[in-house]
Amino acid sequence: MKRPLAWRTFTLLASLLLVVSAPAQSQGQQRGDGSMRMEYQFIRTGTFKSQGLDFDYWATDTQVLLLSGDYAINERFTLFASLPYVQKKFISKVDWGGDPHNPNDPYWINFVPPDKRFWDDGDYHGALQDFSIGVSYRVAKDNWTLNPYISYGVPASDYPFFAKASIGRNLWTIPVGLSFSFVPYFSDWHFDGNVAYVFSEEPLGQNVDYWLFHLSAGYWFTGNLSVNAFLSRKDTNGWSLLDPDFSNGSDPDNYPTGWDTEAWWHHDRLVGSRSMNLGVGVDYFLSPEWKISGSAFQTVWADESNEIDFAFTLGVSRYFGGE
Amino acid sequence: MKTRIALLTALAVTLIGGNAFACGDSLYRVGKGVSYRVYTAPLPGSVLVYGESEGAKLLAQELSRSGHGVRLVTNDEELQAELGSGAYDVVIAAYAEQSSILPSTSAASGAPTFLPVALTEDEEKLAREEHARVMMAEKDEIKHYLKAIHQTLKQRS
Repeated sequence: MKRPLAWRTFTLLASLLLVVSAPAQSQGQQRGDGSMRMEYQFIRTGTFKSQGLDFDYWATDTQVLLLSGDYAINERFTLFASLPYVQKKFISKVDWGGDPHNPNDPYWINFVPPDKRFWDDGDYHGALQDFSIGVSYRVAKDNWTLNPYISYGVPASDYPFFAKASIGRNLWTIPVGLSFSFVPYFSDWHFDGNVAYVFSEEPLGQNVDYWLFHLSAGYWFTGNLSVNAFLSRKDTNGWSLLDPDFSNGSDPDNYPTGWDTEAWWHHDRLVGSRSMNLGVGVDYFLSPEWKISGSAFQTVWADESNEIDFAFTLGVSRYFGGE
Repeated sequence: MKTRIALLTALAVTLIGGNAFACGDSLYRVGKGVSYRVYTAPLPGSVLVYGESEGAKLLAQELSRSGHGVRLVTNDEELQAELGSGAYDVVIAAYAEQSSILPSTSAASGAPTFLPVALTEDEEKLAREEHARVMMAEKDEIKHYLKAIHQTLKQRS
């Protein structure tokens, strides 16, 4: 005998739609899972901090277009890669010019820079920056996911490194790291972290390896909308900008005369920059395949480094299903 | 399926780029993406959902996605057949349907535990007098169902 159900109850359960709008998916990963992402980033830097001194006479604007992707080889291993195009410009904040780095300046006598490209002319200059490729290994236990990884980054073009508008250090790197994720049971919070030691090519034999740390706490307001706050830190081995070796032991106040050294030519590669950035981000899934993201951040502490006054990122991701 | 590795992969590439500036150092990646929210059942169990509506179907899907083994039945004949199989830990149905379910859930040890869904506050009060855990149709989200199932499974183990 068929009895009437209290259908109304389960009709009301349809309100679950509002809170469980995730697409059909299982957990873990399968061979063939992957994604592609395109991001735009703008960064405004300001004061350079060194040993408690502020050098506040120039700024830079940077625009980045980053293409990245990943592909799951199997349930454990994932290949990932990224390629950024970066353009940057030097902005003087003072009448006397703000000390653009010019390899054609007449003070270069004892050492003559072999690369004469001048990028601090106030215009945007850009190039492909560093191509990275790597592999990660997935370990999932309870509500923890760990992903140890290793990657290799290599300059994708021979961009100049002696310029305040230089787009990078033009060195190969090998980041070895561990990312982790913790999602408490029955919670809308999620916590993520990443720690990496980055082995770097050694300019002039100097160790310029660095540590990277990243922590974030996020909250899913709905199944497809998450907001997070994050803190990131970089800690690089290297010299201070005020190291007397840059001026070959001569009076550092005698700048730039006396600073015509190979070390000064490489100073952006040799300086041990350290900084901490704080930011917020948002991720919104338009559909199971498409996601848009945004973040904004700034430097909260820096040494031997330019502070980021303001930066934001906009991104769109496309996801592909596996087998 | 299509988004399942969003979390993983974004994590791995988070820190490829530098994130500080010397004179000419450029940042190009901070932060990371996240995946769709997916709740996880720490103790996967066998759950029988009784209902015919889209809401019941969705509930069954979400419980299944979280890791539970779920069977959805839509009429009394199927319900009685499944209850008789002894294969379930928890039965979720409207509180008003308990006369169809209680005989099978309050019998021998090992019988499934009834997790009623109350439609109104009055119904909730009544249900709480008889059952340790009661779900509210208009209030509780999937995570609350998962928590109640988890507590039930822990109690039964």
